[in-house]
Amino acid sequence: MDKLYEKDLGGATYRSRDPIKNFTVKIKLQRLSASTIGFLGKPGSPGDENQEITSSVNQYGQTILENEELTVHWQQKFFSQREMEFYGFEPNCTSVLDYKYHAEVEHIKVGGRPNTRLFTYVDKDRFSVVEEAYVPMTTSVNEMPSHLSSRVTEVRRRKNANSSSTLQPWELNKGRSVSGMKLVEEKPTDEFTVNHHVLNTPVHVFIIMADLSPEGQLGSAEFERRLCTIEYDDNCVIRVSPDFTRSKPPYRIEEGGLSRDIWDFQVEHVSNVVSKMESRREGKVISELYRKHQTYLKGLVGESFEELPSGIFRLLAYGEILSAESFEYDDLHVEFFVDLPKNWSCDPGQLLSGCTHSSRTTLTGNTERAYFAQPFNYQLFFPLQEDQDTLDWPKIFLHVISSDTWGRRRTEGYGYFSLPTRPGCQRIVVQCWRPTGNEGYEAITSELNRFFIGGNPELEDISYAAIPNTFEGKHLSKYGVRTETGGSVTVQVNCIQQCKAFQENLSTAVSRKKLQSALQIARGQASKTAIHGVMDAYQRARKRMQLARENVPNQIRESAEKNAVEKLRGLTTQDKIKNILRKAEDEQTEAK
Amino acid sequence: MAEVHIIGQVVGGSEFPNQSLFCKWGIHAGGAWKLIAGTKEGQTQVDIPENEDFAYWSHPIDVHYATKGLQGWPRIHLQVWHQDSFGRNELYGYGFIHVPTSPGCHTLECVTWKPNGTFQEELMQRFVGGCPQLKNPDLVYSGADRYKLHTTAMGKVHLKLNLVFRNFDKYGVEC
Repeated sequence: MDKLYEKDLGGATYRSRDPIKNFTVKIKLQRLSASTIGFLGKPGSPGDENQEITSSVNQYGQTILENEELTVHWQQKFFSQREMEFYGFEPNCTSVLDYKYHAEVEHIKVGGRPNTRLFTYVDKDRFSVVEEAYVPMTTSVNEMPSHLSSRVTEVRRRKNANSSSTLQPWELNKGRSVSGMKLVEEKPTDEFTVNHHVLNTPVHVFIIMADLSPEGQLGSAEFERRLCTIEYDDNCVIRVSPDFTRSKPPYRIEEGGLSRDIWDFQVEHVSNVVSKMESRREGKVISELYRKHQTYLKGLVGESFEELPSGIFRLLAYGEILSAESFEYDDLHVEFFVDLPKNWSCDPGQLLSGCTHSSRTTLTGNTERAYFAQPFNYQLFFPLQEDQDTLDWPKIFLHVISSDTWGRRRTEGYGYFSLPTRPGCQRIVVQCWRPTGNEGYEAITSELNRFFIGGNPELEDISYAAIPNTFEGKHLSKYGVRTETGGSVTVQVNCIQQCKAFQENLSTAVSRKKLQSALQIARGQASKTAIHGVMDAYQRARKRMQLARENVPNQIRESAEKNAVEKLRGLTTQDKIKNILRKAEDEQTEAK
Repeated sequence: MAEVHIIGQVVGGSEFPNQSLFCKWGIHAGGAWKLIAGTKEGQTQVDIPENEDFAYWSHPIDVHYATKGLQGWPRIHLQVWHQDSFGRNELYGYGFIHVPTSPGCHTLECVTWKPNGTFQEELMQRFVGGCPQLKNPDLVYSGADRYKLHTTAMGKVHLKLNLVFRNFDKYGVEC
């Protein structure tokens, strides 16, 4: 029977904001006919007879010999037979709690015990501490607790809520402190380490036990078994192990004396459930709180957000020129500017060009690097027009220059990059080159000049680095210009795009596509008027038709429709429409 | 109103000429931005790595901004300082980086530089320490007037930022 289902003794974790004192658990314990019933005969002494009469049969066909149910509240103490005997004898009592238990036991002795086998250990009990003691993890006989495990169990011990630091107030500020707070404890005491360990949420434990001794021998410690442990910590987390039984088969223990009784037990959660009204009210309070917070935020910042007129696309570029590397000379700086293509515009007050500071390079790895971290930010606008054929994207041109203490200035390289068309953060490495002058004598003199007195051929128009502004034609040929490779410049650009058209379709499509669709919408505006005309005509025609149909008597109409449907099968759509139209006309004339 | 959460760390600094470093950082945002929660400035502890070229600070950043507009996107400016064995602090570099404009996890490298002095000053610096500092630290995050500076490239500061955005798509913003 045991092997029909996997034993699941795993615990479960719950979280509840309600006070723990409302937590109630019902435990059901049953003794079944023994597994060895076949050859040992019926267990139990002859004195059990009256119990056997009341016994019934469970769903597995086993006889239930004994039945006990107990409903326990959080930290409600029930005494076991052994405890009854222990606390019943006054000289055993040493602490205040012991005397309290003694009084309770005396009271129970008069009134009778509410429980027989089931009992509980509460948080303060001295027996529950024993339960938490080291349990060997392997089958090894010689297993000893490691240092770590013994320390961790010590930390786990839950009484630390009221333990305070032994430090005197005047000692607190002795160490290096930040605003009176001591950061580093120079001589940590044992108590200090325990208190400041990571695992220091105080845990309250409640254990439900059962005394599974054979009949008539109640009260022996060796047959006490733990049925369920409930832990509760200050973060409102309740851990129940094993979990509540619910629809699962009951948990099973085989225990007790010679006959190995089978014990089934079930754990049920029977706390009072919050009524619907109350939970709704609670939900309302919380949502009210969130709404209040939202209005507070709105009051702080304002609800509005800067909006664009429709048909305008805004591109914001926040970026920085990070570094330049592997250039020939030292002391580099970068001059840069933005080239706005046709139709793009920007704030007139905005500086579109800039210049970094000059930076001496340092050697990292094998490359000479100059660092700039020069910020730039641009706000550019682009009207989404109907007659837009090509879409040019703004470019940034770079000019890397080295200068030295003698005032010699050398061009180190030209380069350009387009602002990213994708929003988000992007790192761009721009490879640079510099012109070396015409072939032959000129090239040699310019290189000599560059080496000795600085200065070298420069581009007359920096836009030549990309497509020259003056360029008109089909092929862009740069053949004939002699260049030399420079180093590279690293730029990081963050782009944000804003457009009213994005607002309308909140899909996660790639934004370039979105921009295209925005353009299409803009283009669509023009053709819309034409479409409107067609649609109007269609609507008018339809209305006239409907009017005509309403005049036709019902019967005729239905039969006509039926005929039409039959005939329609196997016809093309055009024919279908013609048919319908013809039918309608016929009917109209008939009706007249 | 749109909101931005910046959650992350100033992980550490590398490639500086000396270790035993600490870092001061701050987040600066435009006028339309309002700080709702979190601290926007901080200073790390001094970290002395034993034998590697990387000082780890793991200093937390956790700020929450609300904004009415896109102008003045938040940016982070940094100062890296070196503390020598006599407890003297010396500037090692200024750094600047924009907070990325896309949500998600970002690993950023922020390069730093420090202003150069004259030859005499640099000679003195080598033995006594200390170096010229910016009179107006605003220069770190304004692009203008930078050309007057002459600097030396220093190390890198590594940042790890997680960004959470809210409501930007409602206003047709792609980021």
